[in-house]
Amino acid sequence: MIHIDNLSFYYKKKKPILSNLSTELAQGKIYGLFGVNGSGKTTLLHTLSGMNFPKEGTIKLNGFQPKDRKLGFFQQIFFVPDAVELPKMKIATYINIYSVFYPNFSESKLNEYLKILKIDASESLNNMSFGQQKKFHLAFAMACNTKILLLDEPTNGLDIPSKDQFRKLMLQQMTNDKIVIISTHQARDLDQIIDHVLLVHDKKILVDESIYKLSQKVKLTTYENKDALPKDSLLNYKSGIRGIEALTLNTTNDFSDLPIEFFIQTCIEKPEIIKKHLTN
Amino acid sequence: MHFSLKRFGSLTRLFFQQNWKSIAVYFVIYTIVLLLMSSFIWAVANESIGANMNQGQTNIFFLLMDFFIFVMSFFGLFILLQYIFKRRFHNTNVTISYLQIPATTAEKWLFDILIISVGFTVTSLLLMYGTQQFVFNNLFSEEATALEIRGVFKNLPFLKIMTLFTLISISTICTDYLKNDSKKWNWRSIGMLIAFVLFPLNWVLDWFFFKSNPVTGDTWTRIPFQGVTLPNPFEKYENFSIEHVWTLDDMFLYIGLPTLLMLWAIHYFKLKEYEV
Repeated sequence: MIHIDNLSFYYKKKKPILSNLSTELAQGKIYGLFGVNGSGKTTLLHTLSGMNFPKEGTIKLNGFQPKDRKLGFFQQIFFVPDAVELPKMKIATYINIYSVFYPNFSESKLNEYLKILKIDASESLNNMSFGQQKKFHLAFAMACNTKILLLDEPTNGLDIPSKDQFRKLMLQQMTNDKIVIISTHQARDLDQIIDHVLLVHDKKILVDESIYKLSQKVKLTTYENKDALPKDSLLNYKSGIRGIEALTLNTTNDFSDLPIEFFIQTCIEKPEIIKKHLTN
Repeated sequence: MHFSLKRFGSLTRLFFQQNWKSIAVYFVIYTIVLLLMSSFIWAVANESIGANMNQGQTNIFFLLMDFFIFVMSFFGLFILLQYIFKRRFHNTNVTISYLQIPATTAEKWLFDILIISVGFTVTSLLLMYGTQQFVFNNLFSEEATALEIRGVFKNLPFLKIMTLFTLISISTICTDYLKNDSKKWNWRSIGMLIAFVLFPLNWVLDWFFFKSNPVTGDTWTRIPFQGVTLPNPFEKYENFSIEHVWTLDDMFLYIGLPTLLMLWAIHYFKLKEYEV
């Protein structure tokens, strides 16, 4: 369980990045963390992983305060940053050195993941491309079997087949006692695996809702022209191939697939409307 | 406090895996310096060269050589350590990968102090001292020994030099850290220096390691940098004068060691509180 209570963070007091942000994240879920550039997604991940300390408020992850940087905390969390810079050594050496630090590390799982991601375990990390290094780092992070996994833009630098393999692995490694937070701009890459949407806007969390509930609240409908758009329930619209694609409130409560990218776009473009209709 | 030898071993392995090239370059340069030094000593020991030098010339020769070795070897060590520590925090991603290694701060700290700073300094000193001893014991002729050059080296205060350069290496780490939030850390440093280190610890250290001179009285009441002159040693305490003295022992004990301990303490807390 992750408790964030009135978290504020800034480098300069006059320019806060996160301000009075509160939420609770439950185990067994994959959270998608969204927001525009500079909205504080990475800062939030840094703060959760103990790399930055809250200026105000508290964070508790499975009973640990990240700022204490306790051994037990780091054994429970793995943070994969956006850009990977792995030490120049052979994969086998990397595994021998780093696996010692993670009590739940599984070498058999890692080999399985590397096989799926088509990474040759006999390779040297410095001979690998950025994308391959990233895949290795993600596989290693998953094999460490930590209770909390924080991924910052994990699909950046991955080719199309690798993105698919990554999604499969994410679902495969997921268990009921884990929390995964994925910060991304590529909503479409991950919409099939995300259980819950966290959207950071204006230093706070604007949307904190499960995909299931959001799917009950909003839906995508195609209209022939703008005149046909429903004025009362309309959230946003754009021109599509078949006509006008409109994101509307789901007044019938029937379940529909959430167009996650369009929804995120709407949240960013029209936060007031989202606040009015979707936040409690 | 959790301490695991396995994790400590992994930290060591990781360090050498990442830095072996720079360490190798350093030791190659250092070996060249030692070879040059040996050649100098051999040249002086050689009858055809050494015999033409008087004692004054020989002493100047050795002083210059000492300076050369000192500057070359320790300046090299200083650069090596600075490079290593700068590399550890050279960008956000590298910093994160180091900070999030699940080892205790104490393990990381102990590693920095024992292996990197003290380890390298002691290794360098031992190599230098060993080479000198080897050359003296094996290459010096009777005539050269008679020049009493050995004395120059016997009097080298190795412990103090070692401490001085350990201090420099640690201060390198700290300088790097202090760039962020310097105001806070300067105050903390001053506070720590005054409150914890400078006053009580000196006496403790003096009492344990440098049993004070009985002439100067009780260890716990001896004032640093004060010397007692007794005109007549048989009339203790009756006719003495107190004067300021700057002995190496006092400077080491009352300035060097407390500063070193303070910098080590800062390093520990900085490791614990360094942010990306």
